[in-house]
Amino acid sequence: MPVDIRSARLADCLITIEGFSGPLDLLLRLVEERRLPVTELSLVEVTDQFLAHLASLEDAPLELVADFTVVAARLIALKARALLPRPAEPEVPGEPEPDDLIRQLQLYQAFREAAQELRLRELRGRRAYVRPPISPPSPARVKVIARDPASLLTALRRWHRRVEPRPVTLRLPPAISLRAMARRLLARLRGGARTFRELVGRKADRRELAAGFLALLVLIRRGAVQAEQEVPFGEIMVIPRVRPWREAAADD
Amino acid sequence: MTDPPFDLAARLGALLFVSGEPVERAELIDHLGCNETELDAALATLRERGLGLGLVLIEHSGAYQLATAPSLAELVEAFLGLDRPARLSAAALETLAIVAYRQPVTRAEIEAIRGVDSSAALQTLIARGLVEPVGRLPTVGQPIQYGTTVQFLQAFGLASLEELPELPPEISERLLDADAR
Repeated sequence: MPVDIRSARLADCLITIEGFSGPLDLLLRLVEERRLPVTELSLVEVTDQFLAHLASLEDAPLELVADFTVVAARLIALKARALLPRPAEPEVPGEPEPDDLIRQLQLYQAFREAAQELRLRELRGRRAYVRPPISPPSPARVKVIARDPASLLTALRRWHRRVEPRPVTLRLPPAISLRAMARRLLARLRGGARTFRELVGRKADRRELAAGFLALLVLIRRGAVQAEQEVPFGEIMVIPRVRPWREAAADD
Repeated sequence: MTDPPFDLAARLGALLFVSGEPVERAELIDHLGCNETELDAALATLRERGLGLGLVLIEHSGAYQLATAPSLAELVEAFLGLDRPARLSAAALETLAIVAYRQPVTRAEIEAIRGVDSSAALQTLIARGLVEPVGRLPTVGQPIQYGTTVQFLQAFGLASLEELPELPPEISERLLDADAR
């Protein structure tokens, strides 16, 4: 980007450095036209001489300083560009080069069109159908078919015998009714007070124990017996009350 | 009733009729007791005769299968009470086109052309049975190479990959260039 310096002000600023002597704007022009090697210019000297020129002026216009700034910036840019090593190709790793990118886009476009062809075929629904494979009959199947049809009935009978449910005998211990248990307790109390254990019998199972306890509670409620237990879970002493002969009490 | 003498094409037709899957050339040659040239002639004859039965001969990587003619699809679908499968997405179709023309092709190669991640599209195609792994590239990482299946040919009513519409010449050349590199 060449800078157009038309300022007559810079023409008044004479610069004398090694290899050049003349106004500042000419210096820039020569550098830009590559007639003066920028790398050999001392920009420090150019700046010093400009500042000296600036100091010599009684009333330095702001425009002059602005012009110089533009020229100096341009010179610095040119010199920096000349001095700095530049990569052979402006290359960013991973990024496809512009030419490759265009090729890729063309390729992609071609496949988009090919995809459209496939879409048309898809839409036309021109599908070709195939049949499932025929599985050959297994030798075992052939053997069964070769048998006498009556064998099917035999097989069915055999199966039926096998799955026929067998009668199951359900053995349940005889249930003791509350009434019978109450009678039993009263009968055993005829000889006087006894422990609950003795009353139900040492070999009583859970069901008998439960029935016995319920019967005991009934008898207590009826006032037929009295019961005492010294400690929780301890022996229960059952004492017959008066008129123990009233066995019918439990029958009500 | 005596059977008429059956020629090679007829015997070939019987085998392909009962086989639900494509049958390899080698297997056909083995069972028919013929050579490669005779088989090719029989295949050509069968292809012609098949049209009389509403059938086409599908060829997929050296294996052959009989299928109904694509133009009879509507009739067949109505008869079997079939629903049309859902349409493929644009991404899946693009990916399918690349696989179809460039096979065997790796996922990276597909993505280089499409410029976007294509794994989901590829998975869809694999799930639909249109694309399958066909090998591995013998380079670092041994990436999987994909190709189209015989179901792809069936789905798009193609007798073989050669029936794919031709790409524009400049593109084919570019692809050949890319292959040469």
